[in-house]
Amino acid sequence: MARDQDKRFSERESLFAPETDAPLVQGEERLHAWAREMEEAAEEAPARAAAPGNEDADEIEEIEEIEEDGDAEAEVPADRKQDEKEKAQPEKERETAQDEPIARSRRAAEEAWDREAQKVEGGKSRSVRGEEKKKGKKEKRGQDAKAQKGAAKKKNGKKKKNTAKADDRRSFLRTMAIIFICGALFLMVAAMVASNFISSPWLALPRRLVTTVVTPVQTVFSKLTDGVADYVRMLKIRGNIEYEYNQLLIQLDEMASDTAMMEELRRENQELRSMVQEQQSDTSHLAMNPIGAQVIGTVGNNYFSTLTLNVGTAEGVADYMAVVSNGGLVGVTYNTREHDCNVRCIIDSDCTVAGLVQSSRDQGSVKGTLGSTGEAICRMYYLPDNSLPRPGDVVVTSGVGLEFPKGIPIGYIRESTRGMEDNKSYVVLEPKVDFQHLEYVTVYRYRPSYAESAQNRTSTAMTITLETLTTARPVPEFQMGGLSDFMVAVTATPSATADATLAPGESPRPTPEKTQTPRPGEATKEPNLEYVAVDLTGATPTPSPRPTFTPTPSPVPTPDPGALTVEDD
Amino acid sequence: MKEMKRALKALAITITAYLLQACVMHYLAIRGIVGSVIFAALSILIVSCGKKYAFCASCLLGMTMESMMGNVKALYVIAYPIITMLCAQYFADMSDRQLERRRVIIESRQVRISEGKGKKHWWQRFMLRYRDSDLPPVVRIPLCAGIMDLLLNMTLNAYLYLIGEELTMVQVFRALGSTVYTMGLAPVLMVPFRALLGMYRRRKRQEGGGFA
Repeated sequence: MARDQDKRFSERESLFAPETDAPLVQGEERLHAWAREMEEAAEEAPARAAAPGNEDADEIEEIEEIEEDGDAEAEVPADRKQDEKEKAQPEKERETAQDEPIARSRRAAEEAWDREAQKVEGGKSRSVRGEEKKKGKKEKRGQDAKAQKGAAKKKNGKKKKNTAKADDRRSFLRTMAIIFICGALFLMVAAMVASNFISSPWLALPRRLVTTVVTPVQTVFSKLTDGVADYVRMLKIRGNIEYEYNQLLIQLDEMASDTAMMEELRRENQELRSMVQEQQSDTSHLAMNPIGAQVIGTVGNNYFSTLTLNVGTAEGVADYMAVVSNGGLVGVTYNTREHDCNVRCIIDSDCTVAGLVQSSRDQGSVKGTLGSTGEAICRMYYLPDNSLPRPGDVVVTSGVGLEFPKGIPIGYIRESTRGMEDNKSYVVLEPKVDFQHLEYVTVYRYRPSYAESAQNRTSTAMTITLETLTTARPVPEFQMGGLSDFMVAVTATPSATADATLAPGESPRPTPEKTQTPRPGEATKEPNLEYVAVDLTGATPTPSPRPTFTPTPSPVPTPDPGALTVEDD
Repeated sequence: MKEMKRALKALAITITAYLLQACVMHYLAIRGIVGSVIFAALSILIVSCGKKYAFCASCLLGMTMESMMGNVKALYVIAYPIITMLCAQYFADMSDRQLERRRVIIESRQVRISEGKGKKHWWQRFMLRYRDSDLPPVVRIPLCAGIMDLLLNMTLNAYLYLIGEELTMVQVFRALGSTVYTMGLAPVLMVPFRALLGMYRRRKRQEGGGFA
């Protein structure tokens, strides 16, 4: 604020005491002289502006017009004033910096001016005094302007007279035009407002006029903007094409992955369904107490082939149980733990399973060859010499030795030609199971009751059992007449029905029927029979009857054939 | 002739503002809130051309809006001129007479302050009442546009309340959003419109920049 005050002071000092500390009366005279000069310049300006070849004519005219406009006149002048102030500010600062004593003296002169003015005008404020001065200046300007005008008129003659008249006429016309336009607009607005409440064609005229004029313009502009908007939208879409392409690629990858996973699930589902269907179709498998298992590990090399399953003792799996897949024997469980177990495959060199040629019923021993030849096949040893298996014959488990159910297919005989290994003949078997693609298997938790268990195989105790083993495959039965004649003892016949309340993991065991052997001293409960004890203490023993020898007839003498006579007919 | 050119330019600005409002702004809606190009243009006319031009433009725009897009009877045709003239009283350029009166008032206040009878607060520096010059146009135009839009939104909300609608914060926020949008729109439109009116050209010439 102090800076503004200084600025105003600087303006005033340029008016009142521009050069020296002159008396205040002289400063006032200079002010009037300056005002007069400005008026003269203003009078001569239109004439200069009207002169041809003046470059600033348009600008001067424009500035004049703006200044004449009552309300809008301050826009450009205000800017100019601000610019002038901004320009004057550094000058003032420079001046105050360089000519500090002079400025101080000017301020002193200003204060002296105020004091004198207060004495003269009775202590009025500086601003009021300024206004009064301005009024006085204006009056003086008017008088001077009139005087100058008269002088100019006298000097310039008719030309300037016509120019002034034209200016007056122009300003009058402009004022009238403004009044007319504003009045017309006001009337139109009033008519439009009134047309909402009063139905009259005259009142609706402005609305009709506006719609008639604006509608086609707006239609064209709307089409243009719609076209531009469509184009921008198209550009936006085109700009998004790359992004969408990348997104689609990502989606495609995801969908391909999903498809692969779905295919995997489909195959898994199909495999599990086939397993379930197989188990359900063959009710004999129920007696095997099967359980499905997933192959969670495979150790396959040139010598050994073992699997790891996700079932263990917690699921009722024990060692030496048969593992099958797709109806073929996979191997034997071992290293059974709580929740997993290992399976030694039949192609492993350490795995030996008792086999049986299904067609000829010749028995032998099936052993893997992976360790010896590196091929994932089996060999069947110890076949009878007179056995001649045919290619394609099925070899099944014989149920001898391990706790295997009987009749599980092992493989097919490849050829009838026998090979020799360590003076042992063998035939080559092709396993039924594809060991390269094992994912799910079935473990038969079958435990024969009276068969020789695998743990007790080393026992020397002989157990003679005539029990019929449960077979996985139908086995032809042979009716052997007079077999009972050779039986040493009658054993209990195992019941064919399994116990309905079996615990999980427990294999059905045939229960022999109880034989009722009467103990000595016990009376039989049969009512028709009565046991009578004979007291032999006081009785005399009767002599055993002696055989009586009766004379056998004497033998008939055999006639001599020579002595025989032939009778004639 | 110059006056006629200026009037034609103002008319062109008015028509352009209406067409932009009617045909373009619905593409530029932000969360369903549309700014007012019309008020931005009117504020530019208020600051650049004065009250008479602003009044004529507001009447034209009000009539056009009422005829083409009127949804409430006589709302636009009344509200636009009234709001425009209200804001023009405050935001239009002050005349020399007003400026001189302000200067007198401020100087007398300075005298009182120097005599210890009054005190000038900091906020008085930013109020138009206490200034002896106009604010820069770049400040006045957005302020004027925002206040005009806010007044119209308040009018519309009052109308909604009077016809039985319940006023919620959603409407308040929409009004404020529209105001902010319009305030942001005004500086954008200010450059071409004021250039069309010849503001920048004149200043450059005056500064001696040799504008061709």
